[in-house]
Amino acid sequence: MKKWSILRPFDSLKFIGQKPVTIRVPFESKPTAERYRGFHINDLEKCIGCGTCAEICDNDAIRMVPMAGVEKETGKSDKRPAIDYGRCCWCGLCVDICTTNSLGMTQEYIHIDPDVNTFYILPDMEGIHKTEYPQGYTADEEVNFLDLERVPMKELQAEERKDSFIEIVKGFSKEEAQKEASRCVACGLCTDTCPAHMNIPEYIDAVWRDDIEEAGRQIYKNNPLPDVCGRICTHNCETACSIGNRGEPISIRWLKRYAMDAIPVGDYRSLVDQKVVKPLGKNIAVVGGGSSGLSAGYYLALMGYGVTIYEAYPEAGGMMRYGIPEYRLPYDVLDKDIRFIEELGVTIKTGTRVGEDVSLDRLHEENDAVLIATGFHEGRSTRTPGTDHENVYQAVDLLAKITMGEEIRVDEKIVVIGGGNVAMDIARSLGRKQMQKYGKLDVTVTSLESRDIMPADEEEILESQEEGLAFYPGRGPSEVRTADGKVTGLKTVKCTRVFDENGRFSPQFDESDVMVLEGSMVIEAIGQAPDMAYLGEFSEQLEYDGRRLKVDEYFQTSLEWLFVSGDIIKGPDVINGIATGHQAAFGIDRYLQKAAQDELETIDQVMELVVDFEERSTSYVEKALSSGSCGTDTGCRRMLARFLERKKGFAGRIRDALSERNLRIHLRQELGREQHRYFDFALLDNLPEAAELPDKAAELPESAEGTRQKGISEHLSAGYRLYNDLLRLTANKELEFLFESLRDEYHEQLRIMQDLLGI
Amino acid sequence: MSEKLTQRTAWNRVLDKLSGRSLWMLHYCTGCGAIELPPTMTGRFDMERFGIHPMVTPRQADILLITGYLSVKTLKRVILTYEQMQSPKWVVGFGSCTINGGMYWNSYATVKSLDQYMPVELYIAGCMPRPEAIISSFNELIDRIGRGEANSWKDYYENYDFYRKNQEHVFGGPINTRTDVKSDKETFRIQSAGK
Amino acid sequence: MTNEQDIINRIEAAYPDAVCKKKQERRVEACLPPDRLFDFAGRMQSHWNFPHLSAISCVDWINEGEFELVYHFWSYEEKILVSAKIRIPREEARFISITELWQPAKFFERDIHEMFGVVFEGNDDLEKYILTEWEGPPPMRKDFVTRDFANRFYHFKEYEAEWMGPQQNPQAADVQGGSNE
Repeated sequence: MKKWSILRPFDSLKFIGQKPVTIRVPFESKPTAERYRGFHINDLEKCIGCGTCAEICDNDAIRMVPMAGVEKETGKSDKRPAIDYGRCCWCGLCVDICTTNSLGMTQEYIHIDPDVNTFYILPDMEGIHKTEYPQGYTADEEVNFLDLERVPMKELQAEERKDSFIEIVKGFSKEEAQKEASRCVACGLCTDTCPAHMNIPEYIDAVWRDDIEEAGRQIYKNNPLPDVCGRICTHNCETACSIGNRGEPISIRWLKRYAMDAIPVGDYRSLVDQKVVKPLGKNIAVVGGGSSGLSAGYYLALMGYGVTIYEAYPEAGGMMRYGIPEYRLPYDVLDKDIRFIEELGVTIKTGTRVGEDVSLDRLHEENDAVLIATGFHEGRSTRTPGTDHENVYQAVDLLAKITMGEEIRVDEKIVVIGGGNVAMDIARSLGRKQMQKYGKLDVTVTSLESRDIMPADEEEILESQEEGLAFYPGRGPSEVRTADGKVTGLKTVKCTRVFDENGRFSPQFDESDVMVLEGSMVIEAIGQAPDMAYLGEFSEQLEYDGRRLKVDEYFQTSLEWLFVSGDIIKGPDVINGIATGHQAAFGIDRYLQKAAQDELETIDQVMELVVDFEERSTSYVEKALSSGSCGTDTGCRRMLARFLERKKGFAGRIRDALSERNLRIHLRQELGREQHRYFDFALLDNLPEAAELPDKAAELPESAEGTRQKGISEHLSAGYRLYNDLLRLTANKELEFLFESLRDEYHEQLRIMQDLLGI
Repeated sequence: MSEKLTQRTAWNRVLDKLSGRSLWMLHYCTGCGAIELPPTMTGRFDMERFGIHPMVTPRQADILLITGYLSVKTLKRVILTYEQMQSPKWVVGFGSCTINGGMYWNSYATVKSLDQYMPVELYIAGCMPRPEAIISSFNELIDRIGRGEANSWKDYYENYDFYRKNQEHVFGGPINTRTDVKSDKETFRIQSAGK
Repeated sequence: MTNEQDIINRIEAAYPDAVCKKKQERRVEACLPPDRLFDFAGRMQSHWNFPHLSAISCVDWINEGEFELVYHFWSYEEKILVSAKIRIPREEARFISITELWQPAKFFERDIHEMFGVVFEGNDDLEKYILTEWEGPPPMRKDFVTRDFANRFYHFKEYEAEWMGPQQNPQAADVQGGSNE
């Protein structure tokens, strides 16, 4: 303690000239912390509109709003987040969970305004006041809500697998599958990308909840060959996966495989809620038992048609069986799917080649329609000098022979030409044969494309390299060398470019850079072509679009009884085969059934009526609000105003959602089923009536306030019933969202109205 | 509105400038934001530099600072307080809660939009706003008063029916605030307006 | 000083139908049939040296159709908290008041009456306590959905910000967000 002194008060004089403790806001400011959580910024270029931020926000402060000038594309939605600063509590969860790292926060934190509307913003990189502020909070690698790493898939090691045809991938255990499923943020971007529009978030969620049956149900909704797809699908969904922006995408394919493996084949029937409708007495012949043919057969059988699939090979499965080696897709898995389709009543005539054993003409006579789903089975030749030698083979032929168990020639040194998946398949299969025969492996793969643009899946190439295949990418074959009538090797030259500036195939070579790859056997695997010889006389009656057959949107050719699907139309891959098979099935149904055609039109009508109802309803509520139907009752007025506010734009959104063709087909399928199950489907009767209700209610006399309020409440209850009915129909997430929110909206307002009326 | 108030004479301008330099603040600290006020008032940020200092009674106060959420029960007290304050008076809504419910948006007990129950002059974004933001908002308020723009308090007289109806809606019945708003209204010669 | 097991033994000896267990260090839980609670509380207070009633709480087991009332008794000497749990039917829930034993129980019971709607017979003051303006159902019951109520009862902002086109209404777009309950 200081000594007492009369001069003590003057001690404070020592502070003169010192900097005061006061921070003189607004003339000076205290810097914020480096990771301060201020107002949001969002890189709109990077943002994919996955909606995970809106999902995690506990305050409902983030809403996904459609943004002008942003289009839907692979892995991107057309919505962007808008932030309500009347809700936000700056917790930063949205930044932490952002799948692209586009969302961030600045160090700016002062916003003062008398106008509340300035507190609702659509953040971009410029921030709330369009002034530059240093970046504040960003996603922390340590506190990461997203699990960016895949659960590793157990596989056979290269040494174990390279001499046998045992399946390489072992599949997930339950714990692994649940862990992998837990990584999904259920944004639904994958569904848009999948050609078959599978309900991916739904089945991943079911796997996570360990409800395998529900997962199977969701998978079977849009895919009749799930076991196959669970193994060899080209998984476009994983390319679109939002988690893939920052880490590794979810192993969607392996999760599907896990779910299907967990269900015994005997239980498939119970989880397919698509009941076979009563037989229609019409028959359809499907040429080709591959993915597309089987898919079409499945859906046609469900619709009640008699389906016969003609398969040239001894067993059904097409390329899935005869193109894909056993180590990627074991035959028993394929059998599982095919057996189930057969159980539904589809007849598969194997070993019957159309055009030889039975003519297309006869199929036409015996059946009401014919679907061609023959795929690509003819190997294309490089037309290099010397390829007519007997020791130069086509990859697809050899693969089929391996499947059929036929003895094939396997030499000690083999050269494979091609850089696609088929080339990898044949090279790896022959490598395995070599290991079995000679105990060592010597396969050389050469392709026109350089390593970075090789069309095969990256994992295929890596696995091939692990197994010890030699790669010489970026080389074009120029001659098959022979000596004494035997193949000795392949002369290759350096390929300097594969595609020209316009992206067209136009290779250029550097003739001076020559390399001879030794081998006594050369395999060509540069692509396949369809063999359409069976068309016979019909081929002249058909119209072509370039090389492909010309078809309309229902996959109908210019001969009205003939439909085409699968690889020869789109693809080639399994999932496109399934999707086109599905759509062709509806095309056939539409052609054969006037009723079916009507149904499709009914869908359009139903939807038109729904949009009409929405529009009329909006105008009715507007009128009721402005004409003072509620009189002085503020509760009613407020209810109407809020209702109007909320339903704005819904009509347009329903219309947008319906413009997608696939959706209408799904709807039609559901509607057809409903009609068979409940013969007098109430919806269709209710609908016109419901649509007229606003008009009827509007006609009530002005004076009778109570009556008019009852009119409003009746209108609301009609809306509720309508959307409740429609909800049973929808198999589509987007529409379900729309209808559900509309139904709930009507219901809620109805409840308020009834409260007000004292009902 | 009377001509006296709409046409600002030179004398009014001087008055406005001066009245902005001496604001007394009644801070209604029921929400979490109260903790931001001690640094604002004391030496660190020192709001008395601007002539603003805390006042303990409503009748002498000019600013009513609502620091955060209001439950229905406290709203009643706030309305009593607000009506007791002498016009002109300004309400400053502080934080997300006063704008659109904030993090209590789904609570049954808190009101969501303050401006349904009384006119709000300024909102401050934040949860919670920092003392810097509070000081900036006072500066903004002083500027607005000086420019003669801070007239939100008149809205309460103009649309008294609207505010009273909303208040009664949340309280579930009429309330007696013991303040004769209608005669205040006549004092300021303010006409009713529809809202 | 007794330990938790002694107390458990003591309770189980006096109330054979009670289910007791040691929850953790110095915490004992005793599940009792409702009709034994008053007796139990009296014994806790006068015989077993638990003079302090810390709190009464209530849990809504909506699926079982029951309310669980939890009485927390604290002993200053043993330094042990005994939580006595009883279950009563959820419909028209009534239970006997323990205000005769503990005056402070008045407030706990009044609070539970307000929040859950349980009527305590013998408590003469079950007036509104905290929610003086509240007209609706007891809000802590699980069948009361606070979000629905707030949506219906309160006014939320409908923003009209400049960047919003005619189609970009926040409420209309409110399909993706807002799944948090």
